[in-house]
Amino acid sequence: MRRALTWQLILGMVIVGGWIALGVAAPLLTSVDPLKSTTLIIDGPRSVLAPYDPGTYGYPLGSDRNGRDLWAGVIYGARATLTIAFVVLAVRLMVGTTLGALAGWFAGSSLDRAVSALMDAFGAFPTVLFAMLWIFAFDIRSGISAFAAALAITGWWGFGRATRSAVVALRGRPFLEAARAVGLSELAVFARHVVPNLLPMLAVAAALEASAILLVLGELGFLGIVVGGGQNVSSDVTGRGGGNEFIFATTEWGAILAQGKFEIYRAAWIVLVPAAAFASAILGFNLMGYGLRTFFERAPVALGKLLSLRTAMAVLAIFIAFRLASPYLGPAGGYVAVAREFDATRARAHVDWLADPARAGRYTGSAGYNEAARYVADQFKSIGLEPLGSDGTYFQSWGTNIVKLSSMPVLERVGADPKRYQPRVDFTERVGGRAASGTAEGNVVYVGGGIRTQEYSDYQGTHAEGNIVLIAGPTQGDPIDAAIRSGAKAVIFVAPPELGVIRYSYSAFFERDTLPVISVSEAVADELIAESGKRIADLRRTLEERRRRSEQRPSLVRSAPEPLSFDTSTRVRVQVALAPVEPVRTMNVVGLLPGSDPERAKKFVIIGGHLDGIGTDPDGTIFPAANDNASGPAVTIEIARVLAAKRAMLKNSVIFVAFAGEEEGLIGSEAFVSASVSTPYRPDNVVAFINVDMGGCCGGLAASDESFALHQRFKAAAERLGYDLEYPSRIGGSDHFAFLRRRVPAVMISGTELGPFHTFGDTPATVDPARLRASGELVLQSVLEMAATE
Amino acid sequence: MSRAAVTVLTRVLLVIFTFVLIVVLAQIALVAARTRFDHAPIGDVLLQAWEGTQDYFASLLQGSLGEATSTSILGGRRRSMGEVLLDAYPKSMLLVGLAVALATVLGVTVGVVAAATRSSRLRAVLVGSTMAAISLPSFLLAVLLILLSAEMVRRYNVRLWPSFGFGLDDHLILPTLVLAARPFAQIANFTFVAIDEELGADYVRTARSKGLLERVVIGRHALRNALVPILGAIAAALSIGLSTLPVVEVFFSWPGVGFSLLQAIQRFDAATAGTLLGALVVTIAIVRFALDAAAARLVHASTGASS
Repeated sequence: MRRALTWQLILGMVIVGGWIALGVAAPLLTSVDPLKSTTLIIDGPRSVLAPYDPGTYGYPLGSDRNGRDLWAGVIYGARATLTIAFVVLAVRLMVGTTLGALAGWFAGSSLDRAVSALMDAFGAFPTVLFAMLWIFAFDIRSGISAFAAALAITGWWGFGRATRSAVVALRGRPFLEAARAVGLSELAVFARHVVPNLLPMLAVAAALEASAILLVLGELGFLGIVVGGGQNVSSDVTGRGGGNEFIFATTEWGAILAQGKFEIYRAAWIVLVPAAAFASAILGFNLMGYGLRTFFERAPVALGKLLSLRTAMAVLAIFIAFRLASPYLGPAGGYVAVAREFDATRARAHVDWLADPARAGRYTGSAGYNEAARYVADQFKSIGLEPLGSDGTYFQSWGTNIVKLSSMPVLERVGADPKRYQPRVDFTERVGGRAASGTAEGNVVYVGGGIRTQEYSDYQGTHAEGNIVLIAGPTQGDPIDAAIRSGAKAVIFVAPPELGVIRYSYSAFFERDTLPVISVSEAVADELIAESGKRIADLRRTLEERRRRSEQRPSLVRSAPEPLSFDTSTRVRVQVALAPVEPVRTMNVVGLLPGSDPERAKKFVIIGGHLDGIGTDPDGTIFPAANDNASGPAVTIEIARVLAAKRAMLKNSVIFVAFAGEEEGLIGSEAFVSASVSTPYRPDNVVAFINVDMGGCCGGLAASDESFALHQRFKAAAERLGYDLEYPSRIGGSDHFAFLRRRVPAVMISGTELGPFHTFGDTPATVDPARLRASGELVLQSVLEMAATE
Repeated sequence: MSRAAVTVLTRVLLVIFTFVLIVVLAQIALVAARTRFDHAPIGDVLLQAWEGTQDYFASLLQGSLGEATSTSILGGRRRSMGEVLLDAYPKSMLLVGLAVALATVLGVTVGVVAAATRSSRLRAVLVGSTMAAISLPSFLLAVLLILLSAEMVRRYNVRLWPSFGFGLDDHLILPTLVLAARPFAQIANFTFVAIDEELGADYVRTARSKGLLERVVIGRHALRNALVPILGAIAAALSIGLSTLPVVEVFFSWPGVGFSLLQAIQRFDAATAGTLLGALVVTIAIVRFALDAAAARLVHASTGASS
């Protein structure tokens, strides 16, 4: 009898077990953060730039171009890489064996034919490219899960084929007949006599499959497809000139490989270290596979014994217990209780005060805004935040320009059947850039999306000159500019139905050549073009459909289509009257909660939202601006209260801020970030900015995903709190863009729907304390996870 | 209809099915990828993919593959998809064909020698090296070969081969070697196992006892009977080769299908990705069926002869 335990099996298990052990024990084996980069080391008289050679400056395996330690990278990377491999293996095993076993058991049936055809087809797909397709489909930014799902789709057929042929071979065996003769049901025969006989084969196939998965992961990494997607950054930023640098955020063997590819001649170890890691793990799994095959040939063990209802139940119980407990494991679970201390009643009271008619809509530069700012500062003071504004106050003051209406705008139909339309109900004005004061009278000319380029013009065949253009449809470039070039005297947009007629933000920055611009409701627009017998919704739909087709398959669109534009004889008068631009002094409100860890206190988390609103109409009607955005500072204040009470927990410093001038174009947040470059909380030192904007009503809880990793962090936090986190509807920017522009990770917390924003209806009554609570708890939980964890 | 005709028809249908499937899947995946930022619901994605598929096959039936949007390897001008395919496909197939041929010749030789040799040390070395070659990732081999050539130039001023670029000369050496490595190991391994098994069979013992030369026993009897698994290994080797193709083409700047595909996928260009993937998939399917047919004929011939 030859030995069943061959050296191949032992060596294979040692290698694979070794990598698992290295991955698990990584924090014990190195104190270096695998993502920590050091690009310059001062060595006596010399300054040395990364990459560092193996064995120098405390880098046992050298460093990459960013000075990240490769030894730490490779052992931490084993975690992500092997996790993906095992998850993919498990999914492939489940899907493949189930389908393969069904096909084999019902061999010759139409089910078998369908499954076999699918297995043949998938077997012919080139693995790496096919996996790439699905990694992008599942969003490469979502990290490990996209890789696991994509690779599972690519390779399920391997187990399927093996299982099918094994089951077909078993099917005719006499012992199955015997089992049936005893009276066992088909299912019981399958479970008791077929499955146990498959196990040795599956064990062997699983080991070989794991090596194939690792190989694909390596090839994907080498092609630059890495977990989280990575980023190509111009390396000029670091002052070394030329070329691109590849930056990754998840430590994984493939990512190191992707980066090392560019340095083969200068620093071969960067690519050789992860490549050797891949090669050894692949060899380990292959050895294990061949070893297992020999093992089962020489020492037939009854693996079926392992397979009983009891073991299945035990595995299931452990899995469920782990799944249930996992949100509460680790420190993150402990923060839930703190996050729940958020006081929504108090937050709602702040909203009531800030959105009270006495504040007159908190227009930047107005008395109402200044009162609101003092209120927020008083709250910060009573909570015990340190003032971070000018001259030891909470106010960071700055100047800007603002613009107001001097009278209500006018839209009227003139001629035989005159009609005066209602501002804020039927139509509303646009102010800023090329849209300014003016009065115009002319015929309405429908010009589709208002596109005028070299290849295509929506103005073709119409007479826009001296008239008023009506724009509804997909656009391109600047439609107001196209209208001015065509000689139009005013522009009428049709408000998108999902937004309705709202009071837009005004920007006090005007260009040369302006004209009056208004938006009308779809019903009014239909009235204006009534004589044509057409409807705006149909026209818009046709144009949108065209646009979609041409984007989807440009090669099928061979000639520019006919525009749908037409003249009408409907005559209208449009008037927008603005007061002169006036300079104002205004202020952000800023408070600080210093971190308790002297080193980490130098890194900041910033939480805030804008305090300003859109003010009051010339006719005296007030826009209360309760959800947009009294709710933001209200939530910020109550978050500050909870964190101030637990300040000992905070390692990092936290800054709380309420901005002015958001409605006028993110001016307050821009002023804050611009001024911060000479302070300790300059963009370099900001861990994250959390913008709370419109988080008090309407639809589900949402977080934006411009910084995908930050969004994922909030998603995990929301899960621990029992909330579903979705994406907000997109309507231009908010204050987090001032930070995103400086590459500071930033997120906006809001609702999935816009609600009555920018209307008279945005009153405290629409703000839901439960939603304030959800926003507050989510931010608290996420901030604690970022700023309190060791 | 004869049985042979039915078999051929089924196979043709299967090839078409595989082609349609990859086009549809490429549409779904890349439409999903393109609409990720808008958080489009799955229904919209499927609808758009369905329309894209319709457009694709409509233009295909009109005899046009449409225009490719790929630019960088094509010098920045728009070309018809047919041109792209005609340009890239032969370049890739030349590489893969050379690699599989090389892998087959070397693999069968090594497999046979390992099975036939009486020296257990030689056998261990050969089997061990196929195991190592199977575990050797293409990118590691590529990097090692590049480093080797750099080292040769640096130390001995010997230029082994050009490291990067396209050319129907010694530029072929590196990509072919890298592409052939794992297929070689696969074929060698299968050949070894198959011949080893055959050599223990009764008929071989009979042949040997008749006093036939070992060369004849292996060449005429064992190898012929082992051909079926070897053909299977060649089919698998082709799959491995095509799977590794993008890595090799991108690394060695070889302007073939893998290179173009990588760009099409990264640009979310579903139609181009579908066409190029379709070309690869149809190639694999046809070669695989041809090898299957050859194997079936072999089985038929041997059973026919014995009965």
